Amino acid sequence: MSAIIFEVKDVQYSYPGKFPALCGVDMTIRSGEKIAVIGANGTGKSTLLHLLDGLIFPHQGQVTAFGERLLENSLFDEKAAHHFRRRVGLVFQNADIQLFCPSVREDIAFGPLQFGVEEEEVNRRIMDVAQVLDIHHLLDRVPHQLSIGEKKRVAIASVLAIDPDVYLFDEPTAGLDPLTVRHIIDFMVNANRRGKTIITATHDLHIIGEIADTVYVFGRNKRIVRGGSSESVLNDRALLESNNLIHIHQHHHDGKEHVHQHLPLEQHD
Amino acid sequence: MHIPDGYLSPATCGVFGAAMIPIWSAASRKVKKTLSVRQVPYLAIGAAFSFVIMMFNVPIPGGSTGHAVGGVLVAILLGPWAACIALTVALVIQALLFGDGGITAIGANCFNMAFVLPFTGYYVYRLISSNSPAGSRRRVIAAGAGAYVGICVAALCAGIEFGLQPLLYHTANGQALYSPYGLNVAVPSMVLGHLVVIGWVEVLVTALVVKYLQKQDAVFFEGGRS
Amino acid sequence: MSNALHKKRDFIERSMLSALAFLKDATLSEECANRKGFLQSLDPRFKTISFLAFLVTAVSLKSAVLIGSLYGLCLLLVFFSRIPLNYFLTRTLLFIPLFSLCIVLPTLFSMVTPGEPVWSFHVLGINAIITRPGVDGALLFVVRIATSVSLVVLLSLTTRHSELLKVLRLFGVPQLFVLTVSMCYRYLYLFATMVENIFTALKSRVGMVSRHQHGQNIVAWNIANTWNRTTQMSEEVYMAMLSRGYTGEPQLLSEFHATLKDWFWLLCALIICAGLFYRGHTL
Repeated sequence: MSAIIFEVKDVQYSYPGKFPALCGVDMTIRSGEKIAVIGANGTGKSTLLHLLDGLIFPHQGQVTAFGERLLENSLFDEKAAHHFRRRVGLVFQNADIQLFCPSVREDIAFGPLQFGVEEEEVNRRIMDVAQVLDIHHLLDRVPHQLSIGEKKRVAIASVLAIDPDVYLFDEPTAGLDPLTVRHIIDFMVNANRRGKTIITATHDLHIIGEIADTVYVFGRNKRIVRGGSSESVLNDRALLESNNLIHIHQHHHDGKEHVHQHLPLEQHD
Repeated sequence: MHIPDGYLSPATCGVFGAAMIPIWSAASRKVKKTLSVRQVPYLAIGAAFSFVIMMFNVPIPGGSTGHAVGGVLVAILLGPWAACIALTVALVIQALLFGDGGITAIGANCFNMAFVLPFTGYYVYRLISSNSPAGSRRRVIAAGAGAYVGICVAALCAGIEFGLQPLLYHTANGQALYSPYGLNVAVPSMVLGHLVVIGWVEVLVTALVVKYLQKQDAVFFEGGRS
Repeated sequence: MSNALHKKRDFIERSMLSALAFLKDATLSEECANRKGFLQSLDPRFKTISFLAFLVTAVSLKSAVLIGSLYGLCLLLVFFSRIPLNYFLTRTLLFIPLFSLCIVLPTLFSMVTPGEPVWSFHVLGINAIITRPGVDGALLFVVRIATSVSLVVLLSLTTRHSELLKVLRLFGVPQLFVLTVSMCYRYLYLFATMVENIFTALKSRVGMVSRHQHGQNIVAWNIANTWNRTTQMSEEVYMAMLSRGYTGEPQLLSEFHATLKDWFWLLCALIICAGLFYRGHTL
């Protein structure tokens, strides 16, 4: 059994002045695992990732990372903050939030520079990362000029440059074209093969098979409704439907009309 | 109200540049205390907001449109010290990257629009709104009044800056080297222009926005307190 | 009714145009900065210092002829930096210099600037006399302004904006402020696009009767909405920064590498300025 990285115990969180976002979540994540957190919009998936990245802190319950409790006060200390943050990288849902520097090059360099990496090494990492994500031609562009797929690749690059042990992905494939989705999934799978832990929040069931061994389903009640192997969860149609993860749709085939649940592995007859 | 290069003598520019340095230092210290680590994203995006206000065309009675600086609005939303920095950032970008407002004149422009405007307007706003509740109509009126007073006082400063040029900087035979109109022309034209026309654009933008924000129960930072 | 509608479309159009013009201009500008011209090949720090020297010279000299020679140098640099001349001239001369010319027109006349008459004509029963000092003064004013604007625009057109903002560091501006300005610049485009989208949506709502008051409400409501996005975005970007290790003292890339050519250019620029000042003194 590999080392435990995250332990989430009965965590509850509400955004200031709004409805509760998480109402009691328990989870254990071990090193090298591939985890997916699935649920309809508003079920708390993003909130969970933000909690795991120490950006927000639970009102009740606790989050432990690398054996130490994640507390707002403990992360005030620069050394402690760096120690934690270079090991965990979050790829935000909105790439415009992640890319806050005026050029792609600077965005990629930002992370390593804050952690005190020497500039020569930083430049080397920029080149390596540009190679991996095929963004060499974008290095001197302003983020605004990029397409959504390019922005996403740069966002991932900015986290890859830090080379964390854990990757948190918040809806990594939303709104992207199939080729870009493919590239991103390949990246995630390769990262996991190199020993990285990947935790993905998504409602796109099509990618789960490749990027997760374990799946947690978040329900409308903002708690985990079911957790288990990706195969068992994906085959539990009733659960998926009641949690708004699959839909019934109607379409025409060869002159016939039929109705079925739209699952990623659905076979047509 | 952006003053281009060539209207003010280098000496005048230098004086205002020097005057802004302690103001900027003070603003930095205050902002560091209230916003601390959050200051970069808050000020940067606040500055982008200020910049964008200046892009809006506001229709005014008579069929034409005008632009607002929005300095008092930003002061009400961010607090005057943070507004000073946010407005400075917007003005620097406008001057350096878009040729809007001079580079040598940046000190004077910041003095007028990033110091006099937000501070005057903010304190008039605080004076008039005193302790009335955040959602009250009084605050809307106070915001409008603050904007009006702020922009007119800023215009007065600009008028004086222009008006002093021919007095202080001329050739041996009296020919003006910079802005050619003396105090007797520059001050009335700047002040009256704002009192009668341009000031109202500021009033409208500031008061109406505050009114809508009250309805939406938005977040006002007012110097760190939400 | 249709007049009001026209007015509403008018102001919406103009607000949109303002945002669009800003966006379009920014793209053109970056494109010019990426061309392989003389100024583009210089280190941004050296370029900025030299242009600052030119600017201070232009603002300090008392002779229109001398300032004009700086303008000539500016145009020469425009040519060698592969900036299309007509684009440059429209970009620089049509706004601030033209506006300044209009402001200064009254000073041509004897009523404002008495002195040796140069030209006189009759208009509306008044004898209008243009004086020599009037012409000299107006010329000096306009040439100075045109040269200043041209220098600044040329600097900004031939330098990548993200780099130009980093040059501020050289002038003692703290790292924190440089990052703030850079980040503001980055998000300007996003905000401009937001404004554009808001107004595009508005424009498609045909049939609304508008008086100027209604138009004012639309603008105010839009600004209020933009503020809400502002606060939300600020907090989100703050978290994105924290996530990548930001703790309050930013470390930024230095990126600039000077060559002999840059030093040589700076030397030439300073010599030109010194020469102009000397000539100005002895004139």
